[in-house]
Amino acid sequence: MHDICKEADAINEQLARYGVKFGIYKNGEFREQLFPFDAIPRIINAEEFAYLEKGLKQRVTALNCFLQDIYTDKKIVKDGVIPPEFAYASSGYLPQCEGVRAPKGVASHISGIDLVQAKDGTWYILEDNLRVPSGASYPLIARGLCRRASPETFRERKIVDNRDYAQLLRRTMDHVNAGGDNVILTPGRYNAAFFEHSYLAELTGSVLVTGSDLFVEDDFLYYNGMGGEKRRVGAVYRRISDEYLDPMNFLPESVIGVPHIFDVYKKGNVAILNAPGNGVADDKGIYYFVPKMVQYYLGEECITNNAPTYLPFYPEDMKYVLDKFDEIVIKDVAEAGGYGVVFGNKLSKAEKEDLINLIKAEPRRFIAQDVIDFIDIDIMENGERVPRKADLRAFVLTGEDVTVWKSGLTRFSRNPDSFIVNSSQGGGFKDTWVLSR
Amino acid sequence: MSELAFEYRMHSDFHRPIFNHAFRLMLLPPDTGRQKVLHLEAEIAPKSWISQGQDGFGNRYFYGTAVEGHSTFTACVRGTVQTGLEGPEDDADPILYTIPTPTTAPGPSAISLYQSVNAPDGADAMARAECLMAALRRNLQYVPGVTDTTSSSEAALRQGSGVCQDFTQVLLTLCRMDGIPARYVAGMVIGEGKTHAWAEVWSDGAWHGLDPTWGRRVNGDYIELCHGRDCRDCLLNRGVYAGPAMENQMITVSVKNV
Repeated sequence: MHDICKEADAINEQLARYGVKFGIYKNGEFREQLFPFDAIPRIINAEEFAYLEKGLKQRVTALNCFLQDIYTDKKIVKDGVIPPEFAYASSGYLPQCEGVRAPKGVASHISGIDLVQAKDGTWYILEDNLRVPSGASYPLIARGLCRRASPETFRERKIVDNRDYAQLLRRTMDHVNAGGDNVILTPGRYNAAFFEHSYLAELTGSVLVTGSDLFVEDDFLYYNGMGGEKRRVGAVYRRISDEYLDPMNFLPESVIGVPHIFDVYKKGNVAILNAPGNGVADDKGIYYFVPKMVQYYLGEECITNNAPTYLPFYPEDMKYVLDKFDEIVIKDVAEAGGYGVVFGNKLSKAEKEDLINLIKAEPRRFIAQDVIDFIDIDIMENGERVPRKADLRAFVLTGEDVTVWKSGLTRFSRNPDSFIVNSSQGGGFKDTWVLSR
Repeated sequence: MSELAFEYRMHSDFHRPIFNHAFRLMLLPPDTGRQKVLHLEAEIAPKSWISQGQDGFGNRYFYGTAVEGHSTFTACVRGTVQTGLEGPEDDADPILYTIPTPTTAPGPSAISLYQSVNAPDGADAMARAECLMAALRRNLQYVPGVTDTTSSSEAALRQGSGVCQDFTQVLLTLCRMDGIPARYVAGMVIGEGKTHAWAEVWSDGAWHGLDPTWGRRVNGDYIELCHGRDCRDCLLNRGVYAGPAMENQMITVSVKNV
């Protein structure tokens, strides 16, 4: 491990050369910044990973059941397990998807589940990302560079190789492919995760396209190949959000989408990964109900732990939120990327009053959670090991079977006082080693 | 029961040729408990290909693309429809229509209007909805051109004016505040002119039409084209194309008794 740390600068230089960057829009301006890599890995032993694997498979399986149900039979709402307003008033709920069954019962093909580990060793799920979770490419490319920089590190330790991600992803696309080529649909090079789009396209043998490369004709999706020939598309791993996917079915003003692609999808002539409409299941309000979904659809106890969560929507939870305001974290369900997260004790008196009034006026819009004191992981800063907060994004791929990738993206906060690790807030990343014994 | 013949005609002129023109036209009246389509024909030109689809609310539409350059686009749909029927319900699950959407969420104006209405307790949903309709008609004036398809019911109520779309969305807002499932309907009404919009409320296990613009119950003079939660769900025509052209669009509708 020591060897890798010595090579950290060289690895970061390589990452910069490969274009491993993150684009950030702030105040209307686009800036690209490097995604700093820290060479000390997060290490998960075999036993611990076996537990996470079992729990994550169960969780994603239940979420896929929910996505199928909520747009068709709605049994979970009719049986009173989830109040209708939590499903249908969510901004991720898309009425366009009503009645649509995702091919082969898979709506969330690539799921990014964020976890943290508390100081007592317990793992907690922070959120489920079922729309377009990004990040797998970072530990993937970093592993390759680390192996090159310090081969002996990987010879001496029993670290599960994580370079199978591309095969897993390829298999996931092939499983639902409706006949034709696999493509990765990117909004373009100004997207925050453009490096990932191009890297995964290369590794999976998919064609990297933008919306204007694709067109629908007679209910099939095509692109023009190198020789100008028309080639059919069988599966689209899209990295643009639902609202912009198709101006004929979603936001009419979208210019990065493909007109009619959603109609062709509904006719079964092309697969879309992940399925449109998944936002209804990774809403911060719906998160509260995931353990109930596991119970409801699978008849099993939920293996993964949710962070203790309160919905001001329920009067008893509202009381808890008001009583413990200074000890909890409040999240706006409509926000993502670490925005809209507020720690009760960090507010001024006036801010606190405003937020409480807002919660009372729109209880459905907020969730509250106990603050989990999660473990620090060491990072190297100016040649010294210093502890920082870190989370883990685990990737769960659902095709013929459900597979948890034996690695993951560990993100850390560079600010010693911050709990927010999102890359859009300037954090860095680490490789995640899963040990084979 | 009536039998109505209708013609919907949309014609666009572009001052320069456009191409890669994708369109979606929600111009296929459905068979519902209240109407039955007897005959339908459509001419859409130009087009490279055309198909039919169905949205999440069960509305059917034409969609297609005109790839080659063109400077006019015409869609004409004609048909005859039996209306004013009392058949079984087509959409028996009103759950989607109980929840506010961005353009129908109540704001201060809707809340104060709602609080001022004394709907009779114990009355059925339809009777309560009619009270709400009467109240909103006292607060809204029919004024064309002051709202567009992205306007909210709250904005219309605040300014006190709007068109059929706004009258309808305000009624939806008030009904949903009262716990009555209510949905937006876009369609045509007897006479010559434009398309129309009204509301349907869920009462006694069936949908009942209320036209807040005219302040009356919907009868056999109305033909539904589509329904949804709000105006945005019921955009009758959508199009995107390439080319820096200005578009001049004319829509005419005629509905008469056979």
